Amino acid sequence: MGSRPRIGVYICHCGANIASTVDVEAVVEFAKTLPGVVVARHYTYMCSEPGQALIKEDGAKLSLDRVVVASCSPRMHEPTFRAASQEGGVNPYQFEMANIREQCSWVHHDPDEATAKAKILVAAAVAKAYRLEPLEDREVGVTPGAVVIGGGVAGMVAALDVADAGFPAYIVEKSDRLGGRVADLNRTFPDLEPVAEWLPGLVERIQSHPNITVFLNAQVAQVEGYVGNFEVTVVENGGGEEQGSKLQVGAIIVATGYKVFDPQRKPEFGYGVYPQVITTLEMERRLAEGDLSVNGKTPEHVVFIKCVGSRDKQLGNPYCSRVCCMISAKQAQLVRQALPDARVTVFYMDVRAFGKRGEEFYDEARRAGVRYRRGNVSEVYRRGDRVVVRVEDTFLQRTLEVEADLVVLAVGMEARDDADEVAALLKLPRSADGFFLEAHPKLRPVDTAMDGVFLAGCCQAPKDIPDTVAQARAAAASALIPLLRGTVPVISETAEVDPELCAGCGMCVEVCPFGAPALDPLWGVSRVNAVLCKGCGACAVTCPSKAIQVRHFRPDQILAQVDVLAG
Amino acid sequence: MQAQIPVEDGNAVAALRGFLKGLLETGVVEAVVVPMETPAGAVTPALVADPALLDAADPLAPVMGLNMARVVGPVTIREPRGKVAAVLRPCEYRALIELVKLQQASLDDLVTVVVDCLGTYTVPDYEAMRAKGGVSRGGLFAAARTGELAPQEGYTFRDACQMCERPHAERGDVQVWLFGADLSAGVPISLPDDLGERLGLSPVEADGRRAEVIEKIVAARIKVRDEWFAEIRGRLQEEGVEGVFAACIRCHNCMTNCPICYCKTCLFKSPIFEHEPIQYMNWVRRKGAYRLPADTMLFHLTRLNHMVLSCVGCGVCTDACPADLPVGRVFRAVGQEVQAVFEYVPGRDVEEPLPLVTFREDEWSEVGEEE
Amino acid sequence: MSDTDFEPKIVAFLCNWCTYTGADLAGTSRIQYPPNVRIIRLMCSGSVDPTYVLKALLDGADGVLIGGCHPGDCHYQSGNYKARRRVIALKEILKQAGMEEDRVWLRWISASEGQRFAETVAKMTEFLKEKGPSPMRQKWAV
Repeated sequence: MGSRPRIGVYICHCGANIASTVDVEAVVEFAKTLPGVVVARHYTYMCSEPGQALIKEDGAKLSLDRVVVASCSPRMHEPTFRAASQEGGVNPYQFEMANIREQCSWVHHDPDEATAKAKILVAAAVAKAYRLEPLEDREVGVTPGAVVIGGGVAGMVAALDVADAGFPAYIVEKSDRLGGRVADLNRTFPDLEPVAEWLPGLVERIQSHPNITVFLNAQVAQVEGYVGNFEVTVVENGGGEEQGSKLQVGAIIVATGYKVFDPQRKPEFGYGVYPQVITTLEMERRLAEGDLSVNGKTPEHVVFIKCVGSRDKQLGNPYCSRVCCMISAKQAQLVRQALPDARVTVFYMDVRAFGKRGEEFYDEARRAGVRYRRGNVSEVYRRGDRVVVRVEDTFLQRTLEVEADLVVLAVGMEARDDADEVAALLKLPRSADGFFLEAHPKLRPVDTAMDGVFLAGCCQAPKDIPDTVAQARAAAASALIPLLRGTVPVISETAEVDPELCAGCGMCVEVCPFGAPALDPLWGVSRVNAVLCKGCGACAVTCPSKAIQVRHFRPDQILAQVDVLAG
Repeated sequence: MQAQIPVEDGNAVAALRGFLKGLLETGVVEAVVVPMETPAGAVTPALVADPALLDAADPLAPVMGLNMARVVGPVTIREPRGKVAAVLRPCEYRALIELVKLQQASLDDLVTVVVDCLGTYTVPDYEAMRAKGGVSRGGLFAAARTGELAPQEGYTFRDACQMCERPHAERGDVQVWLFGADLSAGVPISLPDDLGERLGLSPVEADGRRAEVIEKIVAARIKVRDEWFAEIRGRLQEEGVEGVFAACIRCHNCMTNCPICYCKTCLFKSPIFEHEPIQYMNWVRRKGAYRLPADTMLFHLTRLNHMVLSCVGCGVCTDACPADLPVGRVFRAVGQEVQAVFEYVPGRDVEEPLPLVTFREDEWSEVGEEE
Repeated sequence: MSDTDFEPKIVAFLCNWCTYTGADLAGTSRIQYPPNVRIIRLMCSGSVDPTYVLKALLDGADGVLIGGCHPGDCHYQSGNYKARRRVIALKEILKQAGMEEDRVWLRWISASEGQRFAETVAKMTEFLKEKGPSPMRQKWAV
């Protein structure tokens, strides 16, 4: 450390929020006695213009090189005071806050106790500030373009927005065609619109868009890099021949979709045993083909069973798949239209007809003569050339048996089997249900724990087409932020290695969830890619010699705080 | 295969030298790390490439000044390197495995020759014996057959050896099985079939006494260990670390000689623990007196925290301590409990991850959720 | 020092994202708790170095509180899981070394658990008052 630190300390009254409990003048007098402090002041509102002006003026006049503000939580005003410090000629990272409002005046009534605690919090902040080094704000450039993993509706819509904004978009689709699961559907709820009226048009726009490249029969094999600069290796498997391409992009949108629940995991329903038992997806095909016959006969009674593979704790799928109620209502209506003489019964636990026109659509199904009966289906078994559906009627508390010619299982959605691989490739956390986890359930629903990787569609959770499209467009908009800005900010409080101290044990490499440190094969020491580092400090705590440390949270800085607070 | 190295004139040490020469001469390895008797008569590890020089090798020298894992590390750590064999005691092999996990050594291109350990003396004791007319091996070799291991009269085995419950070769490419063997007849070894064939050895049935003898030795050692553990644990509870280590002079010998302490520069020798003069005044004002050098107990406790999970109990720390502190006993007694928490056995398996770089989401789920 | 006028010193290492924010919430909710806790903000419970805890204890802190996100909620994916192992190891070492491991508390407290933070501090303060001052306060030869 060159010349001795010159620290300015500013105690905020926060109106009466602090000053009514903490004796701010006493804290100022105390602060003046601390090592390195050249000026200490108090002011009504440090965050106000005149409050900030104090820092700026002192900074210049007294040649301060460090600033401590004792006021509210750093989560509130740290950026404000860092900016003020910078204007006063102080490096914004040589700034420390003492939280004497949320963690002192607001929670302790006794003025003496609160004042004593405020003093010690200020002393700890000064001790840390004393040891802080200057850092610089950092940004990195962004490679224009995005990879979209999955060529279903979510992936196509997201890719289209990225491409329309003028950036290259690469769709990587595992199967041999675009369209995903929606391509297997006939008509959609709640309008009974044929999918054929809009899906081919969407596919056509994708195929003809100059900014969009589609890889079919392709998978992502490797992802390296970080937000703004990913390198995505795509392997195409065309006709048994593997071909790899490396794509440079700034963002990645994951739109890998879902797996249809396999009803053979509910053997009591007889799927795969009785030809009379089919899934809603098979029903889509039959409705599209206009053939509802079973064993050459027109069915007289069609039964729908809902929540197959959903809301089923025993299976480990406690969640609702969100679309099966409406698919059942849709197909039941279409059966009524196709076979006006047939009875149609839907067995349900609950009817969840949410969303725009959902409840109305459910009403329409009932008005069309679809019978809804509440009950848990316990078994489906054969009787002659029909099947019998045994139901526990949860209203009447009795067992009911009905004969049916066709039983349709409303199968739910599950996380895909390859979600493990995708999660490992992109370091994506997953929620308990196996779907990819969004960064925040409310405020960051399309972001992930990995910066620059976004989620769209059913890979995040079951949802219907409108919600999928909304999320896909949100994901595209989020991915466009770094692409349009052209740079991404990266934190300055990152880890760094002292190669003189590093013994190359690799434990930091092992514990880092972000792949920031790596062993240099030539020198056998760890090196940090600061762009990947999120500053969590897992590496530093693992390193016994502290050859790796996180700037601004260095051991000497923290030990200095400990020393004040424990003493 | 299990085989036997033929012994001539009752000289088991010469037989082992012959085996090591064989490794060199058949080109299995280019050099051997082995304890050697220097022209001055002392024993030191050396890397030996010339088979003729192996006449001075003393692979069963009953002395341990340093843990061989420390010297094998630099020879193996990275490519390019030679193909090497290393003669190791079980505690040295275990330390080597820990160092491999810490990327301070490599098992690639290394043939480990792990020998049953009949017990070792400290360097000063060994030197004293030499000065007084030599170190007798005969008694020890005879005792290998019966398990009645005893030190030469007037001496004790090293502290760590007296309480060592893993003196037998359990792992390693080549294992030299002294326990239960009639060493005047031959030295039993266990080694991979292809290596045995290459060295011209043929399979031999073991007579089965080894397990019985190991059981006997281990039982006796555990008895000592548990007595000492009880004693040191009592002291730790009574006096604290600051009591047991009260006489520490902060020479850092324990750390310097510990095979697991692999840091290039110890944290406690780094600038983090260089304090401003005024800081000492802050400290002394609090308690009225302040122990110097600063942070002595913090050093010992941090060292426990850094390496006790990997402590293999070789005890060189105790031997290295000029203040005669029971460093090894403390580390072993504490280590036994901390290792048990994580069901971790240092040196057991190179694939077994170090407990603090791994985790499971579904473990200790009650911890942290308390009211 | 009698039990009545003994005020324990608790050094708290709180993760920025959960427990520190939870403590802020206790503040904005004006939930009162004893002033005995002094907070150090770290980015993650997974960066709490046992040496910091040992230093606090040897300096004479009566208690050390480590606060992090509940399992599964770590901002850095897995820092709290690693912290959990580290703290378990440290507490076993303290126990074996004849230091009172029950002076070190690890608690998962989320950003929305201001009440839990305040209650934890109150409980820990009460516990330490009953336990009495840390013997380290009197020991110079450490």
